[in-house]
Amino acid sequence: MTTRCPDSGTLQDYLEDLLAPDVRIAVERHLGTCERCGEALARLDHVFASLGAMPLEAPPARLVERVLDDVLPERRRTRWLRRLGAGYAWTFAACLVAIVGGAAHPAGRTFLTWLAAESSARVLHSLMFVVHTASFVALSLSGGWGMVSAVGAKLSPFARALYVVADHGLIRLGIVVSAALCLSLLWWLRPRAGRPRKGMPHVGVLGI
Amino acid sequence: MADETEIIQRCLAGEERAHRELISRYERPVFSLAYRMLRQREDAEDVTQETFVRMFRALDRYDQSRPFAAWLFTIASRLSIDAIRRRKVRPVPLVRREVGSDEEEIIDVPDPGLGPEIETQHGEEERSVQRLIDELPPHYRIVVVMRHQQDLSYDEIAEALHLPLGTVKARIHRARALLAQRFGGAS
Repeated sequence: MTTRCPDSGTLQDYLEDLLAPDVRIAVERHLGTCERCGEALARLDHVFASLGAMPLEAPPARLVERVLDDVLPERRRTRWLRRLGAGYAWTFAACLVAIVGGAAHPAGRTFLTWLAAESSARVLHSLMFVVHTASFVALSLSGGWGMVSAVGAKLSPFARALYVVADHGLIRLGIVVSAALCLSLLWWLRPRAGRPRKGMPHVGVLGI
Repeated sequence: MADETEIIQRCLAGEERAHRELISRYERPVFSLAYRMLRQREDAEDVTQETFVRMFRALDRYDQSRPFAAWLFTIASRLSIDAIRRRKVRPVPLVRREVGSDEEEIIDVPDPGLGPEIETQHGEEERSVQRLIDELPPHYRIVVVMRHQQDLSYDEIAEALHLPLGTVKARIHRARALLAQRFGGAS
C-alpha cells in the first residue's frame, strides 16, 4: 500500500466519476495496490448495481381520475349531466323500439291503439279541467259566491276527470319525483359564488 | 412532447387534458418514490394522489425558475415522511445512535429470509439488497431513492428536500456505506 486508504465517500465519488482528474488517478493507483480497498470498491459497486435496479412502480389507473375529480369539480358535475343525458337517450331509444316492435304485432297494435286513445282522453280531460278552472275563477271574481256555487256544480264532472287521471299511486309518485328532480337539478346548477366559472360544456338534449 | 411550461400554463387555464398530461408525466416517479418509502400500495396511492392535488392547487404560486420535478418531489417527499411518522408500526432501523453521540452504529438485524446458500443466487441477492434499502432510516432512504431510482442530481435532491448540498451528499454516502457494510456482512 503506497498511499493512505481513501474513505468510502471518495470511493463512491470514484464510481460516480465525480472526482477531479488528479484525485482519480491517485485513487486508481491506490486501488492497484490495496486489496482491502479493492474489496470495498467491489461491495460498493454491487450496492450501486442493486440501487440502479430499483424498479419504477406503476400506479393504479384510477389514480388519474381521482386526482382530476378532486382538482376539477366542474368535471364531476359534467360527467353526471352526461350520464343523465345518456340515460335519457337510452330510455327514449328503448321506448321507440318498444313502440315500433309493438306496432309490428297485432296484439301490440291493439294495445298501442288503446294506450293512445286512453292517453289522449286523459290529456283532453286535463286540458278541459284547466279551461274550466280558469272560467270558474273568472266567474267567481265577477259574479260573487252564488255564481261560484252554480258554476262549481257544473264543473264537478271535470274535477272528477282530473281525479281519474291522478288516481293512481304510480302517477302521483311520478309527479312528485319529477318535481323533486327538477328542483334538485335547478339547485345544483345554480351559480356558485366565490368560484371562477370556466364554463360548462354543452350537453345536448340526448346527451350527445 | 409538449413543453412543461406550456402544459403548466394550460393547467392554470383549467384545461383537463393538460392536467392529464402533467399527471401522466410524473405519476410513475411520484408513486415509485412513495411506494419505496411506505412499502404499502394503498398508502403510496394516497400520498401520490395528495401530492398531485396539492401541486395543482399551488400551481399558480409555483416559481418557474425552479425545476418543476424538484418542486413536485418536495411535496411528495414531505407527504411520504409525514405518512411514515403517522404510522404506529415503523420499519426496523438499520442504525442506532447513542445518546450524546453523532456516531451511528449498525444493528445486526436477523434476516428471516432464505439461507446463505440460496441467497447467493442472483435474484435472491437483489431482493436481499432491496430489503436492506427498505430498512434504511427514512432520511437516508429518501435521498438514495431520489438519486438512484429517480435519477436526480445531488443539486436537484438538495433543492427538493431544502437541504444543503453537503448534507445530501453525506447522507447518500452514509446510506451506501451502510448498505455495503450490511451486504458485506450478509454475503
